[in-house]
Amino acid sequence: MELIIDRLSRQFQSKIAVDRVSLRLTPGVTGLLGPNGAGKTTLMRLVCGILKPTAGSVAFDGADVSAEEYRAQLGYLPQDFGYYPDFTGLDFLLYMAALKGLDKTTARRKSLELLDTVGLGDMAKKKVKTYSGGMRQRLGIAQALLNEPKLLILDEPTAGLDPKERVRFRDLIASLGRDSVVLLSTHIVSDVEHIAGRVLIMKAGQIVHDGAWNAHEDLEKFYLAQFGGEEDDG
Amino acid sequence: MGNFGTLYKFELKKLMHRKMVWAALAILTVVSAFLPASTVIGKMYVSGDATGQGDQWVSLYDIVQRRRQDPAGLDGRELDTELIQETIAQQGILVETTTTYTDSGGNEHSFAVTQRDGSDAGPWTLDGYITDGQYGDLYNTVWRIVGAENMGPDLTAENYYAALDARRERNYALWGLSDGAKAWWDAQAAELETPLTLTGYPDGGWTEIAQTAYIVDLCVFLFAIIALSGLWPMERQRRTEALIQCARNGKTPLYAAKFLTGLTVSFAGAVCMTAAMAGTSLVLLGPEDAATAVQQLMDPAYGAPMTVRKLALTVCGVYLAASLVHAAFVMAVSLCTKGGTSTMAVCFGAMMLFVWVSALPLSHPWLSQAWSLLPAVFGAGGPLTDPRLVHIGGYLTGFQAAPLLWLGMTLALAGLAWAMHRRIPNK
Repeated sequence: MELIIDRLSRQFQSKIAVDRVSLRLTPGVTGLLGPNGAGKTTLMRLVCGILKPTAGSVAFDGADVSAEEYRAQLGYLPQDFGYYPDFTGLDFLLYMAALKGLDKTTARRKSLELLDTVGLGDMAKKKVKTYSGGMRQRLGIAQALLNEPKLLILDEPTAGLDPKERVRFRDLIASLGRDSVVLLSTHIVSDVEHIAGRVLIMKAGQIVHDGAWNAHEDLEKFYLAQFGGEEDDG
Repeated sequence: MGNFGTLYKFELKKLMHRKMVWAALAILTVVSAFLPASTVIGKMYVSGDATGQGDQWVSLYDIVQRRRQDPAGLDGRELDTELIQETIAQQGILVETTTTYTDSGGNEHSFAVTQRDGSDAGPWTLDGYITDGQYGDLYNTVWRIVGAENMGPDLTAENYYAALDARRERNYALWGLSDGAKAWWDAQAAELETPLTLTGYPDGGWTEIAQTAYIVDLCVFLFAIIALSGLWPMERQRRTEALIQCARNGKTPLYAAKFLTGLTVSFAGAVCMTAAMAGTSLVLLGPEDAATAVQQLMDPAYGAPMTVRKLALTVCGVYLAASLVHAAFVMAVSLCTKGGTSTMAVCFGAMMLFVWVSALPLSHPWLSQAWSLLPAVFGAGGPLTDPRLVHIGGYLTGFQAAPLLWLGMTLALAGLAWAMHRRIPNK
């Protein structure tokens, strides 16, 4: 099980957002750090097939990013995403399950199960427009896990969650990393520090650091050193 | 196709949760229902005798109901020489009088006025007024065919039907019909009953439906624009596009579900509006006799056997098919423009264009005919006016060719929309 990113580039007019990135990701959690505008979200959108690359390729277990088999194994939580306000939480998950190709029985079972997992079991029948920001984020995480993805792309998954929820989801993501390839982008260096076995640091569209991380080292200090003392804001 | 039924159900739910869709449906259905109602709303002044005795205001609805009772007793009569002469005698012969007057500068002017002799007498009772109206309709029908100069005591049914044949021939030449098409119409005309047997209830619900269906079709187009212009762009506005696009069924299955949702909603809207219009027409005006021919009520020169009821049902069926093209057009535009507002602007512009340019010059026969078969243009000049046929193996009238063309257009627009959907947002 591996994700192969080969000389992937994406240019927006004169700006190169992702510049010849090559990676090979295997099961486990890989943290992606970098300041705003470094190209993290663009890289994730390319990996999810939402953006077409200017050059290069992405493949998971031999399936190209444009193939249905690729999307069948993919779970994606975008950084900024919306809902259908008049759907209930359960409706939203059932709709997403249909989009992901789950049959009706499995869809209902997985949806109810995941609503419980993310602490929204008692809110299943309530409309999403009544949910708080944190609850919506949890619903977003639930939809990403519906199809038991082998490739999980999480863009700021813990944004908007309270510290207790953040720890809970950090553990959930760590457990998912045992059987899946998880690429995790976050503002919160400590999240990566605790669960990522490998850390990528992006700067100006390029990977400037790619390596395993020892949980006993201070990632934040290392990260800041990469940017000459710049504060991590992306 | 994977999970198509579930996706379709949720797409329908998404669309029907929009208040604007319900508001547009409600308003346009009321407008459609009101279209025929406007013909019976109001009152008419009916003159009594010369002293003013019997003057009265009568509601248009009451007049319609009295007309249904056929006070002239025309039901079942043939339009033969006897009835033509009876009509001329009742209505009076057209005479031309010259009136002269002098203006303030002392200059003398004269102008000619053509009017029916004896028309000053006027009806003195409501039944007389309605009887006069029945004969008047018949008089005008004959007059339009034979010309004012022939509306005299020598006019026979043979003259009338010969003039009708000549009118058809002129009409076919005017529209540039081929010899084959003329022969087709001649064969149809041979099936026409001569003399025409009249029925006693003119201008009823079926006629109203046939004439009003075109306006209802424009209401359906408007509904499709309002309801469907946001069907795709709302995913972008709500930032749900990324979730959809990276899902396994986010391409073709979702596209099919969305497209079918659009077609369903537009068709359902068309059914509601057509039913509202037809229901009001039939309730307020009443249905004509099943055998009432379009030649009696709508176009005496129409060259094929057709009852007003069959025409009304055909026109409604044809326009229900048009609702699919309207939906497909709006959805294809929304996928091209990628914005709800810009889609509305383009579609409103197209609708205005179709309404204003209801016909192209006959000097470009193919272009003109193709234009005349476009959904929002078809029937603009009246459903019976255009005798041009489409030659595909055999000959097809506009009523047969238009739905086939629209089915083709719907499929072509579906293909265009699919190609655009597949590109979103990969560019």
